[in-house]
Amino acid sequence: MSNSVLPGDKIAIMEEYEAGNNACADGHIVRATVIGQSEIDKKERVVNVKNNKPISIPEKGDIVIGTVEAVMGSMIAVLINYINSKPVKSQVECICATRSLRKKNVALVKDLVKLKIIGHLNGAIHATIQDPGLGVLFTKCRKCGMDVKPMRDIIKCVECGWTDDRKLSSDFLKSDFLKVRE
Amino acid sequence: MGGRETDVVLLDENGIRSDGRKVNETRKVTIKVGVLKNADGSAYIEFGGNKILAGVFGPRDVHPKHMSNPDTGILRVRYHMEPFSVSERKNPAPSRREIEISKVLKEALEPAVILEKFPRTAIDVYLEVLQADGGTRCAALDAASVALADAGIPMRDMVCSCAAGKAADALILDVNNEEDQAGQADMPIGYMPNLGKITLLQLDGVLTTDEFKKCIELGLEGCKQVYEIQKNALREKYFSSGDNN
Repeated sequence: MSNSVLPGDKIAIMEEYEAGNNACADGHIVRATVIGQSEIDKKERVVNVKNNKPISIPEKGDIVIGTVEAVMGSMIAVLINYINSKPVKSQVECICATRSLRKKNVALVKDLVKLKIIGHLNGAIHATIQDPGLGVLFTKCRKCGMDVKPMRDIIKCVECGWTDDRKLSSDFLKSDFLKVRE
Repeated sequence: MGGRETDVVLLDENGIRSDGRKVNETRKVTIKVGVLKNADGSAYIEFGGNKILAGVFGPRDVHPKHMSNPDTGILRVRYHMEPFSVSERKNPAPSRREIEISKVLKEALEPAVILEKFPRTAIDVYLEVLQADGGTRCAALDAASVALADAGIPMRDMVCSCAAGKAADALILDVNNEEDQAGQADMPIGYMPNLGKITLLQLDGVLTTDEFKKCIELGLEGCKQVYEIQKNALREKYFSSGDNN
């Protein structure tokens, strides 16, 4: 069962359903917070609103592609360019812990990486790079700036032969996200 | 009592105002949603002679970074009158009045917008007054609320706004420019109709306690009328297939 709702519209009462996604509780009334379709989950006793115009902040479970902005001892900061393959202009950053990866360089500044959002904590967006599909999508040789090719789990420069460590995605150099840099 | 000397008859013996309206009648309001391609949300409002464009961007990264709040998002509102919006050219630099109105509109929208969902980000609301005819802050607030909803920003409720006031010793709804200049009181009201909460209340002029109460009641009636127009504008864009609940 779904209904078209606007922000502030009453969609349920608290005695029957709890406020889910894009809904808020106002005393004993559950109200929609966005324009969309209200959907009642009778099994979970939750009422959600499907947003007609999603905002450009990633949520838990989203796959994001971004540019590494900073590399710290045990984490990287990534500027998000794409959320679930859709380009975004919000210019928000997420952080990704790299402590558990036994690699010298998980990613370097300006590498393109694919991450999965694991949640929002303490005002920061947290992501993971640990799945096989996640990791570096595109990088260059840190010595000469030329193209690199993957060799098992390391990369080797086609020009100077420099080998380097990265957490490579299974999509490394396969996807068309090279355009992101242009 | 009060007001500037004028030759205009603000209210005739039949209770009709200078622009032909009754005392409890608003001016014609039309709202269009999604008029700007590059904004995340936008709206254009014509509130009588007022013409105002609202654009919303965000949530997005905050610059300068020190303005960001790790616990919540921030709302930034810029109310600006175009140089051609009034009969004599207005200096395009932000005036004291514009800075004040930007502040009160921000404070009127903040109770409605759920900023806690977007820590360290900013939501920017730009309000450009293309043509002014009294009551621009109310019209700008109406447009801003619709533009925020159009941008998909979570809100506890819409904010609707309308002014009430006093002219020729009578309480009137939706004060126009002449009534603002020559009348005795002007009271802009911002209101969240579903939550029943007032988010903006200003008063320029003098009212008795009884008049003040009646003026608020009158203003809230105007707000509710504007709310219906806001809802219709949003439904027209999003549910125009006839599925409007």
